[in-house]
Amino acid sequence: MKLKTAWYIINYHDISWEESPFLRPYSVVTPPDLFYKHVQAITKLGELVSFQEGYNRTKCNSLQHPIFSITFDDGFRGVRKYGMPILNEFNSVGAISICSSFFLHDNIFWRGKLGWLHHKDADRQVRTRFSKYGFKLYEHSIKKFSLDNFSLGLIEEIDNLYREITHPVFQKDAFRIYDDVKGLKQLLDAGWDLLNHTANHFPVSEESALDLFKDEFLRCESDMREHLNYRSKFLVLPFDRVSKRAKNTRSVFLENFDESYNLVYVGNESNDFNNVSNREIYRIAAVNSPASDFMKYLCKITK
Amino acid sequence: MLPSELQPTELYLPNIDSKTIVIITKSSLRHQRFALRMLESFDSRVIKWYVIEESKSLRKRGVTSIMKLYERIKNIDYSFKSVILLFHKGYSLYNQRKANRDFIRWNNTAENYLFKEEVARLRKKISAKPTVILNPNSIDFYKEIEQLRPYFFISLGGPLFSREILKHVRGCSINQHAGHSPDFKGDSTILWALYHRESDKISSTVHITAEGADTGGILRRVGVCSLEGENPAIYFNRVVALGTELIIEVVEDVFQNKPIYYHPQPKFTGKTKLSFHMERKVRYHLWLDYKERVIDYLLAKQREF
Repeated sequence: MKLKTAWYIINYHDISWEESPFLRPYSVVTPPDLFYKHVQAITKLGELVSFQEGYNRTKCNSLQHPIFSITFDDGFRGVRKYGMPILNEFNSVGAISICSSFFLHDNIFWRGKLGWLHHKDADRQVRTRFSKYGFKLYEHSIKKFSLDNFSLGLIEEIDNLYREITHPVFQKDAFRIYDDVKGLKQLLDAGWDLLNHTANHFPVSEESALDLFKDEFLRCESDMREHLNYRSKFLVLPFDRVSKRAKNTRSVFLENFDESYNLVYVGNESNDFNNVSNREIYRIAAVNSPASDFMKYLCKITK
Repeated sequence: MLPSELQPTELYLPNIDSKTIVIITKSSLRHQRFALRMLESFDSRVIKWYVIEESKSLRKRGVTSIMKLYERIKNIDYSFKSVILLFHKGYSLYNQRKANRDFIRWNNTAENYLFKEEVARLRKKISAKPTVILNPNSIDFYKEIEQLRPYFFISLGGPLFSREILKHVRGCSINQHAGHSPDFKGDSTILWALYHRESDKISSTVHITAEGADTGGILRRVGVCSLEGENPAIYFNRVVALGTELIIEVVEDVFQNKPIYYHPQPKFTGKTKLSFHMERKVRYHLWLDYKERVIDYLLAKQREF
């Protein structure tokens, strides 16, 4: 198996033995054993480097062989607990995209709350509250409808229902899936990169939330500066569904952020000098399949 | 994660300076990992690690089953109908044995796949050696615990401990149960959850050790990361790894004086399974579910709503 010379960014979310009901519907947890095998396989295909180093080398157009960086979205605690020791074994570090309301333990991911409500058999109540936004029982699934029809009103409905049916002790405990300021500082000390993933993980690259693009990234940036004394020049788009991406996402980015900032997509593509110098970075979403299958998939999509 | 259907109650533990830990495990790789992770996390606070030696009577069991088979063959009616029935029975027994062999193979492979390298790495780092005991409910063992008077008495699954032992623990006795209490208590509970096709109950429960099997107040309970295409032995061993980390979390919380909540388990709820309940036929049906990818289907369905 051989890959073309490029910078490949593989994106994971949580690395953990556990899969809480908040995350279960979204298949975003990779068990540590599988993650270890993935990293092992990746190092056979190319060199594993930090995100910043990968960026620098690509921007200088000095790539001589395939290089890999690993990112983790949303700021889960398992990344530090299980992911970091594994990457240490391979003498590497990762980058973690963080949402400020999650690491400050202000709010839980709104889609996570939906997963929780589903687990608690509250789908009926969710459907009733969504009906005023056009939800139809036999036409829509809650999971897809909530993203396709995103609005702040919908978020409020989810928040209210979550608070109504969840014991306060449990609400507080639920934050344990996210890392906190102390944990993120440990990652920084270990040489990790932190990336800006907006304040609340709204679909800011889609028409429904494009007007929140600037505020969401700026709020996260200001929280990162205040609590972590850190400034990230990489803006990582939440969700980034290619088929739903608004046509003017890039122009909104260019209008609001100066030349030092870069926009990070999913896109499932590799990076070269051209796209990086254009301030666009692509990542490849990892899949929870055995390492050999994942590597084949990687070769196939980046041909 | 806390069990949200149960009422939380704050757990108040005595605040003393020397919060020591005694660990009790069996000898398999997953048990070794459990103890070594505790030692890695709490170092000198772990004052003793006991390993219960398990008795082996497999050969005897093999001889007994051959004798039973001979008794059956001796009394066979050789009419045509009986021969056909016998053929069916034989075929079914053959499949059950095949399923059983697969389960044994899966167990050995899963444990090695998940823990062998990690245990080797931990062994290099940690020099502590376990003390082997034969019976954790013997008078000698009571006396040892009475002398040690640990703050935590931490065990992984295993035998039931008598009140005589538990009363000498100054803080809290904690057990890790590879199952979803209170619904599934006792033995092979991951397999029982799968048998009942309740894939959302492939969980680990960390609870206060009580005299009944897995009946103490729940401190943590959470589902394991189970992926499509994997066999039940992988799920089980991941559950054990998860439970180990959950216990470490609870003990760390106590050391950091964070509030701890326990959730008393309702009586007469769920099922307590013993090892003999997991008959060959039950395993066979589970094996069929695995081969027919029913488990994969259940996991995929859980993610849809």
